[in-house]
Amino acid sequence: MAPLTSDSAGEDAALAEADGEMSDSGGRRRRLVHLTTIIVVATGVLLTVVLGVAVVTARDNNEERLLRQRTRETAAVLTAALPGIQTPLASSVEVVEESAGADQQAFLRLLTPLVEAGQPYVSASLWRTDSEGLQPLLVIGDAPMLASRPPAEIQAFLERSTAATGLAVIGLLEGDNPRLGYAFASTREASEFVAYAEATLPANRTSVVPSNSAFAGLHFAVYLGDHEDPTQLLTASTPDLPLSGALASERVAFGDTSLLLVMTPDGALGGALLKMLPWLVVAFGLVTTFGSATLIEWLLRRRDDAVRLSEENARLYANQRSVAQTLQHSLLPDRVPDVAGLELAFRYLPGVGGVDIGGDWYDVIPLDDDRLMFVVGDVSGRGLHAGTVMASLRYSIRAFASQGDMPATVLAKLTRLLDVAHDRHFATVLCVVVDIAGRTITVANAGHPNPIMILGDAIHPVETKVGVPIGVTRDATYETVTEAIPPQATLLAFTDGLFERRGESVDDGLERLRESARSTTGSLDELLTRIVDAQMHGSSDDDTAILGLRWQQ
Amino acid sequence: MAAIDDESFVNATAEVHFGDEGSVVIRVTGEVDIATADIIRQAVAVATEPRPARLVFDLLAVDFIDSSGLAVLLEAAKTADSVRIDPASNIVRRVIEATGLSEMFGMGI
Repeated sequence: MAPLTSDSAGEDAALAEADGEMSDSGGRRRRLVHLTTIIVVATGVLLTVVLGVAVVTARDNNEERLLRQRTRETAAVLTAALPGIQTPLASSVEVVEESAGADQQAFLRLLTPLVEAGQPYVSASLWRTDSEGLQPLLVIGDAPMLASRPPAEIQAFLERSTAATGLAVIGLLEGDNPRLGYAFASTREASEFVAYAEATLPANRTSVVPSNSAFAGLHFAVYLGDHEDPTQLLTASTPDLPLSGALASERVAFGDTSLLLVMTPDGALGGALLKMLPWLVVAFGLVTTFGSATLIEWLLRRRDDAVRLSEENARLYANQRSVAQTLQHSLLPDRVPDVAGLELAFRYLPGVGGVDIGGDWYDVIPLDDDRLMFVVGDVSGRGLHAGTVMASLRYSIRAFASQGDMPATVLAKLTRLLDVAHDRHFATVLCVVVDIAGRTITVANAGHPNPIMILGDAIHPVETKVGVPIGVTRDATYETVTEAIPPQATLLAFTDGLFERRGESVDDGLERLRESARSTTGSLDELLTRIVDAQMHGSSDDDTAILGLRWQQ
Repeated sequence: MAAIDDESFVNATAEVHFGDEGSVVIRVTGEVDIATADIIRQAVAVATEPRPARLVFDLLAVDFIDSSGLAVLLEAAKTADSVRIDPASNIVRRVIEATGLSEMFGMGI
């Protein structure tokens, strides 16, 4: 017996393939994070770091620039303040010098207001050079600490002040409360007088900067001389010395020496926002990075789900197609009975593309030793309903045949079982009784394609009386035709899928059939294979059932 | 006139023309198969409410008809007092003849 079709093996292969894809997708599903997401995170973090560094650099540059600017401003303020403590000394000594020492009251008048609490000086004194050296003439306020120094040192300093064209600074005089001493001599040639004053340093040498001052937000330290010598510290805004961190310094001329101003920012000069900007940039960058990474990961997983779903659908589709075909096969005989004297073969070919069960069928029913009935039918449409209609028609015919009904009666009874208006299906049926010994066939036809007879190179249609299809009218009647079959002839009955094609005439299909059926050598099974191969080349979208019959030689 | 047009991928149309004295013409074009049968079925539902005396199918522009398409015509045949196919394309004519339905659809040989 011929195999039913060779397609079931193909279906199994398709199923196995679909399963293989499933396990592949399972592998993808187990992936923790997608590579794309990792790349996005890495890129985002890198960009964030680069941007953060850039902002930090820009901020630091800005801070440095601001610090230098503020330090220069402070130095300018300091420079502007210095004449305030020099001028009274310079003025008074000029007046005294002018009067050749007569007007010492001028010294008192000018300096007394400056030697009080809250004023620059704690002590002011007027000195005169004579043959015995420098002697104090007048003292305002406290006794000068200078006076307690060794005479040689006093002499050296006052000589330095007369030699200097401006202010001479003695430096810090150590004591319980260190003082800064400075002196002024007249700019005249051979000047005799020297005005000398001492100022105290702020308590602990620390100045408190008011928060509304122009110097708020800065720490500063002022040293006498040109380097940060703690012993030469005049004043600072903080006891925490030397200053550390970002520093800027300026030198300010101060008589015959100089002051060193060192400053550092206390907090951010550019404001709190600028200080926090790098962190804001980094935080924003990281939030954006991880936000987009999360979104991308989510989208990728959705895509994976969609891919998995489509793979599963493909598998289910293959499965369903397989189920439909399995069901169809179960409704059709998988073998025809051995009948002495006859060769029988059949093919059933599912149409391509559909998952639905088709409505084509064939059947072979032995009636007695001399006769058998064969049937080829086609229920309109597709799907489970068409399949069940097909099954019920097939088994009804078997029942009628077993009651001894002949083809015309079988079809007339059959048509009452189906109503196209109600069932939405009708059926075409060819019902044939074969008289084996008599070599005749008796055919009744309910709207079905006529069978053909292949004899040598010729193909003859077997003309039948075509009645209306099954299920169209309840009272349809059918007529039979009896035909003698020549010894060499092969009889083929089939459904319209065999050579019906869209866009092709029936004659083209018949011509193809004629070509493929030309050689009658070989078995009937081989002939059917040849015909099927030729007809199915460029597959049909309709199902096809073929039954072949010939008398054994 | 009511029209039930194809969806963009479905290759068939059906138009219903109500004529005089209870006759209705359904004009079908394209391919009448399992995919488009419902278009014709809807047109028939429109045309046969109420039941017409005469239902005529104009199938001159039908390129292909399969058993599902034929089933719709046969269903429609029960919904009118008389049903004819006129005119018919050669393809339709051949299918109707091959299935023994010429007489039912008033297509004299």
